[in-house]
Amino acid sequence: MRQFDRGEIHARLRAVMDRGEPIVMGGAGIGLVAKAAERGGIDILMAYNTGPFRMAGHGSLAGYLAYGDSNAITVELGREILNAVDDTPVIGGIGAADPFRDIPRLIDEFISLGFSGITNVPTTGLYDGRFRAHIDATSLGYPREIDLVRMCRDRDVFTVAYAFSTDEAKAMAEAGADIVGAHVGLTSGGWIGAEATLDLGAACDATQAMLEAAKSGRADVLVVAHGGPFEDPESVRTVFERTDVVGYLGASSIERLPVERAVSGVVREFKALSPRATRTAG
Amino acid sequence: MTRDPIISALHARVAGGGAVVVAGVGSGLTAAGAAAGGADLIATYSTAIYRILGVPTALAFMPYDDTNAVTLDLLPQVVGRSGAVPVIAGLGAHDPRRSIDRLVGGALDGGAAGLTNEPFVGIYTAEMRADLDRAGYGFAREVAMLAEARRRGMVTLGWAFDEEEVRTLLGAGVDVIGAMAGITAGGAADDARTAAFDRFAAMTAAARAADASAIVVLHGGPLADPATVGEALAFTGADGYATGSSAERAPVIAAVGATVAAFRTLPLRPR
Repeated sequence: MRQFDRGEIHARLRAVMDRGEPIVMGGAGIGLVAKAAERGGIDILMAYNTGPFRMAGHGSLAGYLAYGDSNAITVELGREILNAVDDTPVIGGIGAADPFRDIPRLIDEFISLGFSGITNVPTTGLYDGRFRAHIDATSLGYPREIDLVRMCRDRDVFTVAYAFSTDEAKAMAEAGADIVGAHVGLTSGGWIGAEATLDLGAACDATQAMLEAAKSGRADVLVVAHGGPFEDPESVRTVFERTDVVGYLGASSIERLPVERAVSGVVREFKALSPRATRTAG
Repeated sequence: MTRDPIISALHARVAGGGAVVVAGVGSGLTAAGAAAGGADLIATYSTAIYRILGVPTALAFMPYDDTNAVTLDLLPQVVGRSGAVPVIAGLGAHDPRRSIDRLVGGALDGGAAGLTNEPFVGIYTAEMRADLDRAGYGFAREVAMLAEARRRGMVTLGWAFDEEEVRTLLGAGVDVIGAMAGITAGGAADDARTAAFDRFAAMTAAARAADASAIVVLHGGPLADPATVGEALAFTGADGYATGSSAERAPVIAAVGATVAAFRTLPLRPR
């Protein structure tokens, strides 16, 4: 495990961009995925509470319902992921609405554990409609996540901020987010992915609009694409061509979808074998 | 306590012209208070427990706690303080770690006579709600949990947010319909109050049309005090009211506050 300070992460990302490569960031809900992603050359790993649900075979949305203490889950996940990798910064997700913990102390706890930065996951940006209006009005909502990012910046802690709208992207850039993840909805694809997402063109437009809003808030903010139809290298190639993002942040696309395909494929291959002992049966 | 005599008692209460009161409690102490006040049913669920802890009740719908663990842990204490009043446990049907079978079994083991679908996904709206439905975390799973509870002899209280959900719940054999108008907001503006009353009336009518023997209780929105609830019952023809903050947070804060203030007015002997 190596912990990176904010300057070291920026130097690393600058080198990636100078080589003309995309910044690739991935969620890891289990140590094996973190290790494999590092071997593949991931630039930043993301650890947050939806990961373990995903890797336990549930939908990422389970991490948005009241069936677990998200911040405790992420601390536990951090212990696992941080020791599974050697030379990759790991960003930990803090649920900023936690009523049972003091957020400044939680930031300190995450950093002392070995996380190299903080992100706003679970984020209230996924809730919408009347429920979202209610939690924003009762100080459990997105404004607390903007405060979280500002607190991290004041402490020189690296941040990745998920934003769901142009207003949120701009506010997060102004609060000092190092990277804004332009979130265009739950990731489609696979067995338990979201079914209805924006089409690729609309998702690219939404991404570019968030990017421009973020840049208007702070010109040097880095913006990466995330979610919706950006579920595989082909669709991400499109967002790299049609927008000014410098990279991609994958979660389901980096761990759930590849594991689904790889494991079922290998099992199918084993099942296709025909043992001599039972060849005549049936 | 078995289902049939409990349902008969509720029907007798309605036949006698009295409103059925389902008291939502988050502690043994308030359960005892509700039982002393003559509650027909006592319900315990995570939002009630959070309001007793003094934290926002929206937490029951956010990922900072295992709500089913919280409720199943408190359940025996509530049962122990509810005397002869049947207790209904509120459990979240979408728990990734507990099957419906285990949830119902847990409620029975804790001494519950009934089960209700709280926390419910009806609180979420717009795209989040649609995503939950598609991911298998929808209302259908709540209905399945209540149907299993009914099959195992429990009284069922099903929370509905619209007429379609009312019909689905009754179709699954649910005994008591909770018509929900969202988070309680006393002193609501007139148009919000009118809209909530209309929703209550529509859900009550849908229940009557689907099953004449269904018991309908109202909750949420402008229903924060006995006078408003009385008007809502008269307007909708519903059978009763499920208390929430109205019979727990508000009276506890008022009573504790007034009592502490009364002690503080005591003068010391001159010195």
